[in-house]
Amino acid sequence: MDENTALERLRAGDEAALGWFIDRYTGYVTTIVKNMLLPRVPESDAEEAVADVFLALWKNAQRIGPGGVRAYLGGIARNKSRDKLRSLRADVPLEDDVLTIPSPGPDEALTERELHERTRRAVDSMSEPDREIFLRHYFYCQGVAEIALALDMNTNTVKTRLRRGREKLRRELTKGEA
Amino acid sequence: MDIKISDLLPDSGVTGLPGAADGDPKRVREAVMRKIKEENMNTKRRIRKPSRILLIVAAVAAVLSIAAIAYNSTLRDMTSGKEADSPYRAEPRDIITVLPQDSPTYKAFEEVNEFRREVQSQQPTGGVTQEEFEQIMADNERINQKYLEVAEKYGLKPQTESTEVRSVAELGATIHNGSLLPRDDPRAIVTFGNYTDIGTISYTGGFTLPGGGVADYGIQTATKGTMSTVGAAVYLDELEEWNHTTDDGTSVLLAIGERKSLLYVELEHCYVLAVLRTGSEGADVEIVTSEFDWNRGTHTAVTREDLEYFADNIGFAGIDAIAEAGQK
Repeated sequence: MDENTALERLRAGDEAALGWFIDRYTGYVTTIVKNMLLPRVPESDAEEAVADVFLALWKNAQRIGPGGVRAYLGGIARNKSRDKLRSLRADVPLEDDVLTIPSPGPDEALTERELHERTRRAVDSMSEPDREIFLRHYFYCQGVAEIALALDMNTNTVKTRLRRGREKLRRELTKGEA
Repeated sequence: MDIKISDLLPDSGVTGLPGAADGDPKRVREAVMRKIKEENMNTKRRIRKPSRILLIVAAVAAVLSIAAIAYNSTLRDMTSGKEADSPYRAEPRDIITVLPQDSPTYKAFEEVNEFRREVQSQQPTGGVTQEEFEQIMADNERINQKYLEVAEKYGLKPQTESTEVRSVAELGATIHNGSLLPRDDPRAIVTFGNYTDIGTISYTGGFTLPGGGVADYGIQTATKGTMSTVGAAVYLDELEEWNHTTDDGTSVLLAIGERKSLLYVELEHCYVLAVLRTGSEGADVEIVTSEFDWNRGTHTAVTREDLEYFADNIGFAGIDAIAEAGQK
């Protein structure tokens, strides 16, 4: 069964199709949820959150377009995890999460597709461990201290590398502008 | 131009870090199926086709036991003396409800709830087999039957029909030729509600604040002389209360807290209680569900003037007329 067929069957209420998606994406969803939640919440809560993500897929299958399941699951996994952290007051502030770039003129504005492509390029071009630090912080919402502990660094180093990552992203997004 | 990096990365399809992908699909499948069964049960409890009996007692099970209230009484007068505990809350909250303790409706709900607790105490928890699931559905029918019997015993009109609506416009167009609630803001987390054959209205939506922000709210009514009541769980100590006379002359009680605000009024035929999921400091995080982007307008804080604006945009005369019709 291919993914679009599975999605059609899921929309029709086929539980076997849901099982197909669970088999295929449990690893992906679990990676996101556990990276965001552990060790700040118990493992059992993280497993509940993973199940909630697939429950959302079951309930909202009608709203997901062909080829969109992975992105949907990723987005819901992040939102569920962030909600969980917020509800437990365990969320951490992100370092300069808002990136201010010059507003382009009407002819220079990036399309959404270009914006996303440039973002991927910026992240992929980061050297390690800068890329890992950047993703841990801005993708998995891990705190600076938590990252420093995990990677055996001091917090200032983590902050410095985050700043470097932001600058790289900013440069990529503003390329070609005056 | 401001871009939020934490939103940009997942939107861009940036692949996260490898590792930790140790989820067991079999366990996930079991957990999801259990949740689906629970959802199905809850849905069957909540939403029945017209002409079927609607079980509404569960939602109000915890909010009974109060001191009598008077018109424009304070919220503290409505305190039940009970507290709502939640694993997501640092401290229990106070439960307020609108029913006088000596009212027939209060006694009726107590009786139904006692029966419900007894029946449900025998039910399995966690994962259920197909047989157990069917037994639970049969139990629900028994509770529905008890609900009808008790309603008759106390001379209260039972609810037998409920109709869903998805917008304020649909609500107004369906049951009332005019404006009942503030116009939906497209940034609202969800717009959803229902009205019943006993003249009650329940609606969850969001309205545009005068300053351009958005506030999500839930509003419920309880029709006098029927099997209906409403309540809320709040931190009373943090609420600042005052009375406000709306543009149409209705005197309402308003209260603003750090993360939650309320509107309460007793009309001739019904009680109206609205809870705004935001206060002077911003949104109440507990209502922000993962299905939606919680960075939307729900983080807008409100002022006393915003609450008065909300009250001024509610059609209390229309709400009371609907309740009056529902009593018959």
